[in-house]
Amino acid sequence: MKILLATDGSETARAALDFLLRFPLPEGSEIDLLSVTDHHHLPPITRGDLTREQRQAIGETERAVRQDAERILAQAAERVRGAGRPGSTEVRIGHPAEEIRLAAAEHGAELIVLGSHGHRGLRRLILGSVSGSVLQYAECSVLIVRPRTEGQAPAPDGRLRILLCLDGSAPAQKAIELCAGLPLRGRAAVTLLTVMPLITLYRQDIRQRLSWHWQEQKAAATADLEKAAAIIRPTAEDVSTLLREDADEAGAILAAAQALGSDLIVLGHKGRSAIERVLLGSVTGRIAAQAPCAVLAVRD
Amino acid sequence: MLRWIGDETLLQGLVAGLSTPALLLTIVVCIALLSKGADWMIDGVVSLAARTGLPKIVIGATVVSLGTTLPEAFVSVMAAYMGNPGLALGNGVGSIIADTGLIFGLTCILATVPVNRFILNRTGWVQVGSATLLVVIAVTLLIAAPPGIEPRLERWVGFFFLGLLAVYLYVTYRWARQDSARAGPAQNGADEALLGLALSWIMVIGGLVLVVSGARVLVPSASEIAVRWGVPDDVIAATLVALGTSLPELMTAIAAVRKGHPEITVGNIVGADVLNTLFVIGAAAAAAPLAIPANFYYYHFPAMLLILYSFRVFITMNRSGVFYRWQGVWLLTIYAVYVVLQYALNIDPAHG
Repeated sequence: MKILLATDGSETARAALDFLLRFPLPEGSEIDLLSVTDHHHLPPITRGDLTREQRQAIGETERAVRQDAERILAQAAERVRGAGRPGSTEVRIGHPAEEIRLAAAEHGAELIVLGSHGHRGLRRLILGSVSGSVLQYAECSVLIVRPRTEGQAPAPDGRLRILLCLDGSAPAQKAIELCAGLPLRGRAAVTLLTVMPLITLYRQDIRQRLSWHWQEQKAAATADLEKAAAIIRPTAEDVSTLLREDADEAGAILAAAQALGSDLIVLGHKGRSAIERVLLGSVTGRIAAQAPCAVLAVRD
Repeated sequence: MLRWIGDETLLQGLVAGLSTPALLLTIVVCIALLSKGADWMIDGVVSLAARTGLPKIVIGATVVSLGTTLPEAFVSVMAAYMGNPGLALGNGVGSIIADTGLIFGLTCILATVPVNRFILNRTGWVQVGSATLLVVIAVTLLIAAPPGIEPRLERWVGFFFLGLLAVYLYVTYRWARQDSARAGPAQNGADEALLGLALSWIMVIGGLVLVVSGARVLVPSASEIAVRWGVPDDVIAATLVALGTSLPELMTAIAAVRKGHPEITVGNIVGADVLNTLFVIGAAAAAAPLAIPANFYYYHFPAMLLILYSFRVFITMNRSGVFYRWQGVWLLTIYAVYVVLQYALNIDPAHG
């Protein structure tokens, strides 16, 4: 698997690297490292009215920024090499989210990894603008990592607790295949979760639950969960399933992650249209913003 | 946005946390709000009719109906987006049956309802025409569908219905203008105490907001009480939930009869029927294709057509200019038989 890890040396970026190095990646995976300096942080060198001294000062600032980024990358690269993963390093200057997306496309990355916030992000309040933008516009899967909070202990057996969310969509199917391709045996416990959306407006849920259509959907969802569990079991023996009925799909997933002490939520990212995002909101976006753990959004 | 509007988590959490006496008090307050909202709306409509020269029946069929069908529209669009086509389609069809059979039937029994032949011979045809068009499209899709595949109302049907809705609203306005020109300015009750135009609109819209939001709190509160008193879920579904989205129409009808303007109810029911097809089902199908379950073909569609064509026949035969009480009894009986058979035969209910 070809992976691109974006880092700015912040605490969350270091947590992203820690998480990635602990993650059971497929054999032969490569980790490329990228650091992007936001061009808005540099003075505009193209202005014609600058004196030579001013131009020199700006050039020095840029060199210093670049050197700082290279230092951050060198530290990360050492750890990546130490973990036996080959890969390149690259510094870019530009719009961070856009540069990360472009670099991922140029590197042929199947997965972008980044922290939930950079240096400037309001940690744990909302999703940082860079990670939010990468999540929305990247053409490949995106793993957003949050530093572990106090009271959030790792599993006693050291295994990764993965919550894989299924909704019958093509990206969710891709998420199943991705998990089935990871060496999870003895290293992870996987819970497969499907949330059936209830309509509680005017208590339609009472009627909805009684209908044959709902019972059929429930039976189909249970069968799909079992089918997915059968696909994953050869690579991860500890697989369980959960079926929830809830009006708030994202809320139910977050509650399950909290209750299970999950380290990672994996879900298919459907990429809703602009109208659908306005009307329904983005389940993935909300989970990435509010999850107590890392979130892997798998693209079709 | 839809999620936010439709998210009842907070409301249901609040309702579940209330003691039974507090819930009963909430229900009483909700009913008072519904009643007050409906009163304001009727006063606003009467005044608006006098101010603008538009017949009350037309304002009932457009502004009031658009407001009172909003609950069905929200539920259906949400259901369509969330992959529950039976609920989406059922809301529209079920509301037509409940509005015409139950609410209009009751109104006819309780009050003398005038027949505005000029308007009803026009909008009345749109009412049965739109429902008939829905059934014709559904049957055509059934015939054309490959064996074993459920026919679906595709998104283009939804957009087509929404287009027809725009045409309907425009044409209704034209008819109303013709009617008021034909009847003269005195027909809208010049003796009424008139409100200003702006205040009339505020009364109508404020009343609608009270009615729609009052119903939204009343349904979960009443359902919670019913659950606590051990009422089975299927009984709650058949009564409280089935009537929930039609409560605004019911309260409007009661207020209109009480205040002596039953023609607003006629307009509201005819308009709500048209809007349930063109707006509720149209918007839901435009949001996501709606599969048509088999029970709609053998049960819900025939019941809807029977009620609508009965209403149509009554308009044609009522030469005296009013609906008769026995006609209300007939409509109400069809509705009662429809509900009872649905549960006796264990058919998935259509109504939301």
